Amino acid sequence: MTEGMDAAAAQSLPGGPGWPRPAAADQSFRGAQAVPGHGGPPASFAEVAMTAPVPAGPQGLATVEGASDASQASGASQAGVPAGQPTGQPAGAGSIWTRSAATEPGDSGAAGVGETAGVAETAGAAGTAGTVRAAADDEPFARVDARKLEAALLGLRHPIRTVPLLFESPGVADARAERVKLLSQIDDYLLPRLRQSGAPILVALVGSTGAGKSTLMNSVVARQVSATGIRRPTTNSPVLACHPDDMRWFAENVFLPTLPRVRQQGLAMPGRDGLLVLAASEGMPKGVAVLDTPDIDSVVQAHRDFADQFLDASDLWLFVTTARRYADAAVWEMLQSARDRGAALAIALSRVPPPAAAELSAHFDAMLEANGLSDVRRFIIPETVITDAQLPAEVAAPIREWLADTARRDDRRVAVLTQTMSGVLDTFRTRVPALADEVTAQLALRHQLRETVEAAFTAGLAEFEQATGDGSLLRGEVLARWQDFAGAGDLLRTLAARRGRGGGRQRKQQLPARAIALKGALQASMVALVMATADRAAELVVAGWQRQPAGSGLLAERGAAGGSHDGPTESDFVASALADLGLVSDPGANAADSDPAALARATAGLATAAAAAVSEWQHHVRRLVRAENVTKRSIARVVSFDDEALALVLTIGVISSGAAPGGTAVQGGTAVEAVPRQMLESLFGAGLLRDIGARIRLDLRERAGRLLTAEAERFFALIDSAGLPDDSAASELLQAGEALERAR
Amino acid sequence: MTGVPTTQIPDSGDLTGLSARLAALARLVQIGAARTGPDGFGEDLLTAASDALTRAGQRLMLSSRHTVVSLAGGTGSGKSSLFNQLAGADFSTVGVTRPVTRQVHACVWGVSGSGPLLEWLGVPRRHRYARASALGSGEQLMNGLVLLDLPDHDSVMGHATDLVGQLVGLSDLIVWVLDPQKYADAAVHRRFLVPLAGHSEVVAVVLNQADLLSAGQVEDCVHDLRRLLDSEGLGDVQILVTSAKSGAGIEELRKLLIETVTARTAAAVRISADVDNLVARFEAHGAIEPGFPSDSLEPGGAGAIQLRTGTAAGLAADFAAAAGVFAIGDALRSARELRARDYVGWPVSWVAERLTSSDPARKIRLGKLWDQLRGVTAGPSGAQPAAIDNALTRVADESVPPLPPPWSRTVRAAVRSRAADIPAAIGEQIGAALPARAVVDRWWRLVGVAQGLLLGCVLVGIAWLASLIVFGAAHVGSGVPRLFSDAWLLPWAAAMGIAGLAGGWLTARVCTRAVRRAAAREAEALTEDIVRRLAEVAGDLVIAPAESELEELERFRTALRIAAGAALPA
Repeated sequence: MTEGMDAAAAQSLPGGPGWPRPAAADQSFRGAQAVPGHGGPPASFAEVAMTAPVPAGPQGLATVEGASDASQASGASQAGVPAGQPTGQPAGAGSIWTRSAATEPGDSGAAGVGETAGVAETAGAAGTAGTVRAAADDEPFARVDARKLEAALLGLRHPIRTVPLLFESPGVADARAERVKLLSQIDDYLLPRLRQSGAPILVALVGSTGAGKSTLMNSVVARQVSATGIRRPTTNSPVLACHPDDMRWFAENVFLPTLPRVRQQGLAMPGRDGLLVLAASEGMPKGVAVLDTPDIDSVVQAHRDFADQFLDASDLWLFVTTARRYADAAVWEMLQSARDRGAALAIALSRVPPPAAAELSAHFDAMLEANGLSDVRRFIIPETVITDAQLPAEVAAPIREWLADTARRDDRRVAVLTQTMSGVLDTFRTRVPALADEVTAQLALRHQLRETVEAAFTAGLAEFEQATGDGSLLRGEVLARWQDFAGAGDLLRTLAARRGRGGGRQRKQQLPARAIALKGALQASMVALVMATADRAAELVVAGWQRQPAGSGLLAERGAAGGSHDGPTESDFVASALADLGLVSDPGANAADSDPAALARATAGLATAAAAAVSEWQHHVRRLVRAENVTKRSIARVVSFDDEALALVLTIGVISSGAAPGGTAVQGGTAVEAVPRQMLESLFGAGLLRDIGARIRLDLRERAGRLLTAEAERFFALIDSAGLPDDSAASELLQAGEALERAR
Repeated sequence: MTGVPTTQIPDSGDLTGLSARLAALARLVQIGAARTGPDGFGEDLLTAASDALTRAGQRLMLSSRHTVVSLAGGTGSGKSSLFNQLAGADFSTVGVTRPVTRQVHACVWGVSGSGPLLEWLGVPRRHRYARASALGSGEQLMNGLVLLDLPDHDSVMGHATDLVGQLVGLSDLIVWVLDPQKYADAAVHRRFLVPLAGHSEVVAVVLNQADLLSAGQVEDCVHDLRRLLDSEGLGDVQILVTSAKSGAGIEELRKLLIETVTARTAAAVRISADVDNLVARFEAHGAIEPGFPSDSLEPGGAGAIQLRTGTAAGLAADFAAAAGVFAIGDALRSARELRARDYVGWPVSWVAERLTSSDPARKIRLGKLWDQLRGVTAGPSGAQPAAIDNALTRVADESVPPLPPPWSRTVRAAVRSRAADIPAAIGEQIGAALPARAVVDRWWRLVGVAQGLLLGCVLVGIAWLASLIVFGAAHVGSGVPRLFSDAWLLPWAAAMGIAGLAGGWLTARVCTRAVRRAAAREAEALTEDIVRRLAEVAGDLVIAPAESELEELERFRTALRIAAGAALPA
């Protein structure tokens, strides 16, 4: 399938302005397509040989032999298959590329023979090539459109990049890393590969510290391009070596666009950390580039992250380990991840002491087999004398030739690309839905956070309602003041007899001091109740959040933000933001609020706001008393009360019992005893009182509800400050994932 | 850099000091175990500490004559070759394929008493070797050495890694065998060396396979290794360069082992290194910022930590406000005054008042009010719960000094620990403080009698006056005594009536004022009494739990100092 993209890119975008493409690459693609069409391995090889530079022929022959020799010498059991084995793998994969590729499998077995034959036929192959191409054009290929795939990838890239991973949860760190990894695989590997199908194959040298990656690289290049040494880790910035003609493929804007790079001048030059060193060498075969990566298991964590990025960007991994290390857990973890990624892979076991070579390679093969890697190409490099940071030429030859061969032979090249690309795309099938699951989980987390807040404040409001209805407000000072007011006769002194029918409104008289004290006590107790309720709700929210990783993450973030509020901008911002939300009238009063501990408390402005709300409510009661004639008609005919005093009595009646006074018994008999029921009953008609009592309580509840809602707002604002997730993010991600599958 | 072993093990193997430190560590664990939670003592820390305590106890009990030295390292580093070299025989298999060593091997110099120790270490019986016979031949200095050859820590055999972790924990000295290829592996440094940062005395590093390198390369390699160890806080660790193949450096290693064995302090040093590590992890929970703005805390952090001064008084005042103490006082005063009016008041004024206004207040007066007052305050609902809540919040927020992580929470929790009992306690105390019954002072009754007499005087005067007018001025009847008919007596009669009226009115005025003063005094006394009682409630139910938690913190900090070895108890 991947080759399909390559081919399509080559055909459907001829000479696209952005992508320089050598003519040879074009040809090699047609050649590759011609393989199934023509049906014979010799023909395919002839095609390859034709497109390759002439001098490559004899070299190719020599290298094939060299590789076989080396393999035999190393005592491995691969002597018969050295060249054929790598091509054996794409046989299955190749069928993705073209449904009619029935001849591909046959290719693998015969390749070893075919190569030699192909070289011999080089001179006369030109004629057949033309017919091959003609046949290829007629062939109905079920090719994928590279553009479509590219569009699908771009379509997937966006939702992945914008995936809302806002809240801490056990899986979110992994999900964030996964997102970075997905993006780097798309940006650093899949998209560049799709856009430039003709780019050289990038072989990453992967391995443990001290495995000799750099030495191997120098040996392959036949020049010292990478620093070697006794210190570990040696390589701190990756070195990429390729033929000078291929250098343009690795220019800044195409390959790993985010990475700064330097071109190597002269011999080995240690680069700075985080810098890619480009080394051009005539010694490199064309069409293949070798990348020496930092160690995967060194003590320097940055190296590992860095290495991962390169591993994702390469087409083929050459894993290097040593006779001493091959049983390390780290080695097998790495191989496991390579297998999971589905990347094309080869393994070199280096520093093998010659006397133990047979025993070691047998053991190593057994381990490979046990780990499901038995069909991976593997090299044995004996422990030898190293000169000029290079292995002796004959030791490095098998690998060198294998690399050159991979670059030169299109079937191999295509096989490698196919395997790696479809391997990566295959992993998307599970990884994208997994990421989408995490997004769904994030939405659930957000919902859960909001729910914690809502539950706490709803419970707070219910508490408030209960406290104002069951007489628990009528305690302490309120009760004492009430008794003082009622018992000392002040209450009834506010009563004035109407003098006849035309008495009209009584003269406005001064409210007795005891009534004022009672009113004050009532207000204070209600403010205290609101404060206590808000405090408790805030505390509940903070405690509830602290139990959830997402919540404690938010609180910690806030703490970090609050801790650094030395700068005036910071606190100003917080204050004005809160003021915008209508939480505080005075932005200055809120300075303490940036302290995270303050979050578990009511806001600084609440006391003022609550006092205002309560006195408004008292006003409201008074207006009601004045507007509606709440006193019984029989009494109203004889006496009239001062509005304010009557409102107080009514308030006491309302808070002393949910029902009207004289109604059902309420808890704490003492509180009810305190209210002279007969008086209330005789003053107000029971029905009217119940009705107006309900209205007063409803109004109080509404006011308290508004206060608490404003209190809760800062928690919602805190949740929102993490970012507003898109509800459809998960489904977008899944859809994009499916679109990618369809485009393959 | 070929290490000439010098005596690096500090002479801190004082066992009494160590046992005091271990006891202090046990106290830390005990205190910490009661205070876990998201910001509290971590489960892993407590587990690690109790594991270390168990381990230390067992190790000290088992054999103080033996010193356990482990050879640890990665696959192929040549541990087994070194082991065999040191043991002088091929006990542990050496091989080319990896991993070779999968089981722990032990070689003991001086067997007696080592059995339980080896059992404890978990060395299989068939992997124990004795060098008893060699003791005579110049190795008597190594008597007491238990040398372990550990499995590869980084091999594909995962369980071996755990076994290594366990045995590294049990060893008195760990010799890390590294080789030029792998000396910078993350597997060794991250998992095993970094956690031992600062305890160079329990670690030694051997760079094996020096024969593979040239002299210059060895130098370079050791230099780099030293740099790496320095960066990990292991700057004092000895680095020995050996070659199991050529035998170079083996003597130095042997010398190091001999020194360790003869010092006989390795076990104690190892345990105290463990304690040091744990104490460092506990430290965060006992660290009080210097320069913290408390009235009670010395900047050095050694002083006792207390709630801010005035907390108890402030809380009592808050409780008084929540209970409405001053309102109770006011109500009591009003009630006293009203009650007194019944005795000392001037009945004539009442009548006048009755006649001039229709005051229905008297219907719901007095007795009822008294009952109500007592009813309120005697019950368990004598204070505004919300106000109490807010008072406790204030104490928790403002009076608890800033403390390290779990403590600010636990002290705050202690402040609220008995919050549910407070309203009832307040109600009870107020009920106890109120006078038992509506007492009537004796002088009120006397004044009442006097007012009655005065009233009688007025009535008599009026009657006299009337009779004088009727009999004296109008000459209605005859035979009336002169006392009732002599017109000249008219002024006297009038004077009598007026005097009675004035006297009664005056008495009422004066007595009412006196009653008011007395009631004010009484109310004041009551208020004071209640406030005092509420202060007691605050002290018992809020301050005491908080302070006991602070004392616990103090104990924790003391234990921390002892465990750190800074201040041994005299």
